[in-house]
Amino acid sequence: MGVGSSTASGKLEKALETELPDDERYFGLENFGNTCYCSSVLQALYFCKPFRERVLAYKKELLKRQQELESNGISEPNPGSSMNGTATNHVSSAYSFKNAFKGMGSAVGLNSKKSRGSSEEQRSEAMLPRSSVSTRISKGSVGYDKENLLTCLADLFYQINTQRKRIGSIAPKKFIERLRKDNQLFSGCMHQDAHEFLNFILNEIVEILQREEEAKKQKITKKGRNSLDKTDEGSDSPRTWVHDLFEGLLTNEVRCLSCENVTQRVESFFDLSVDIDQNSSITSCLRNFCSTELLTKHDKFFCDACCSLQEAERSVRIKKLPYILALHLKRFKFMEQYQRYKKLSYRVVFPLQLRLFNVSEDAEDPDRLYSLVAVVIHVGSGPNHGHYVCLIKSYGRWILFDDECVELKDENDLEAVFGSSFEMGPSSDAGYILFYETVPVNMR
Amino acid sequence: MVQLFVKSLHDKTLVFDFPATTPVSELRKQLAESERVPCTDLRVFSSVSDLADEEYIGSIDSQFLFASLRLKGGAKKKRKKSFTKPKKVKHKKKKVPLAVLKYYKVSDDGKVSRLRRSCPNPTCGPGVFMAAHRGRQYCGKCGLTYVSEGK
Repeated sequence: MGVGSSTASGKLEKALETELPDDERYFGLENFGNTCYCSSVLQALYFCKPFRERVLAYKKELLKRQQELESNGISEPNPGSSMNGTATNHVSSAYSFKNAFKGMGSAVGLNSKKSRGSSEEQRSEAMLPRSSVSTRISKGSVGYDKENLLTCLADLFYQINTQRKRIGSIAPKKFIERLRKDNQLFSGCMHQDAHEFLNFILNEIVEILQREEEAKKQKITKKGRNSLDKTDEGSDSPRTWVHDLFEGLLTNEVRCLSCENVTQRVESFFDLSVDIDQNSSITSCLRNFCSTELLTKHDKFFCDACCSLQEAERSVRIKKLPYILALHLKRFKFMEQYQRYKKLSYRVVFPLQLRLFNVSEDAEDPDRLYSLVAVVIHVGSGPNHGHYVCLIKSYGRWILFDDECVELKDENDLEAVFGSSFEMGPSSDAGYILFYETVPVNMR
Repeated sequence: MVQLFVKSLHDKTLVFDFPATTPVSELRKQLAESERVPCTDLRVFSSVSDLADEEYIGSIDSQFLFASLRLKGGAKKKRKKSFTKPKKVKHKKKKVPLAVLKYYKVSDDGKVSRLRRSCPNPTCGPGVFMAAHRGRQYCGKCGLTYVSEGK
């Protein structure tokens, strides 16, 4: 924010007027000390439209639940402890909002007319924390948490989505606090891996949703016992909307070279981790990922038919394509002579549009077209520290989110994050996680 | 026994056999050994989620795992310093051609007289002349200054 980016944000403002729709918000996320691994992934998820819609729908549900509880709650006596909870909650979130606003003001330049709007916003925002309180009351009885990572995420997305301004920055304080509480790995102020965070948050959301689903089901079965016994069968882990968006299926095939017996196993995936080579492309990396491989020497396969260790061939096919394809580039190599690993800034070209191959024949819509929607970029020369930024595509324009800064970028700028074609190249910015979204059939 | 296939860091699949009650930490240890990577740097994950050390091999619903390292990041972006005052312009020494000529004067009879006072400081000694400025004499080598009062 401040002086440096004023021209860049000016460019964005111009684009806002002409090309970008009115109801889209572009808000940077403030960095509370080494949290940009988290911010950049959150931005990618926020601008993954279907994901955001689901989260906002969840928020709507939260609000509805809270209203219901409030209308019911008049007759119920409120326990004193939860009243205390109200007060502290209120203060903390009002504080964080003020903070957010401070950031926003300095980013965009606040004038007196706009600051009047701010107080209104603050008031409406002050209504928010109630939701968390009432959902907490319901914990135990219905199985909803008062506050979990998903409610925090929903609050954050809702906050961004309901901003009056179209650009600015916001402080995801509550979310970070919750994250640090929930996961030991992220609890410190250390630098972290963005892919690890992405994995964590997706799985956490799945778990929360499944828990709630479970609780709902139990409630129903309590009411109507026998009639709903059917639902119990084989549904220990129901599908969630995270599955709808990110889940794909891989068929892992192991063919024993002795008896030609093929062992198949289908496993779901949320993203694909691919090895990379210098001066290659994502397409060739994916080809390697799916290539047939010989299991031999120390890594022989125990064949059930032969009842012994045998040489075998392993291959991978994609059985079901995910709606959103997340690709994780393994940009590291262990240098034995130095006893440490280093970051690979290899140049790996990723196209704006992608088709998968190595798809098994029974897959649905196997040659669907994917379009690049977000890139999480690692900046820095080493693997142990650095900076994460995120490039996202919104209505045909590329926008860079660098902590609280938001800048308009040209499509050609993408080339700069492919990596460097020299071993010790000057460019250290390299795409680390790529998000591809399925292009709808009528748009191809 | 559970057979696990781990896609290693070198694009090669490693096969491990473990009893179902083995904790993931053991897998991580062996994997780190065969990859020659420090245990703490190694990530092991299925295509869905990262594996925690306390989990048991038997409870993983995946046979095909991935090994990976970390690319850590999180630093605050370095902000450009903004200066309020314009930068100081450094003094540039003027090059005077044949400056030595100003230090000596050769009279008509061939006698050389020195026009500048030489610095009395023991580190400088004779041969180091002091600059004659308006109102003062200054030694460029040690910084000694004589201010002449009359002017």
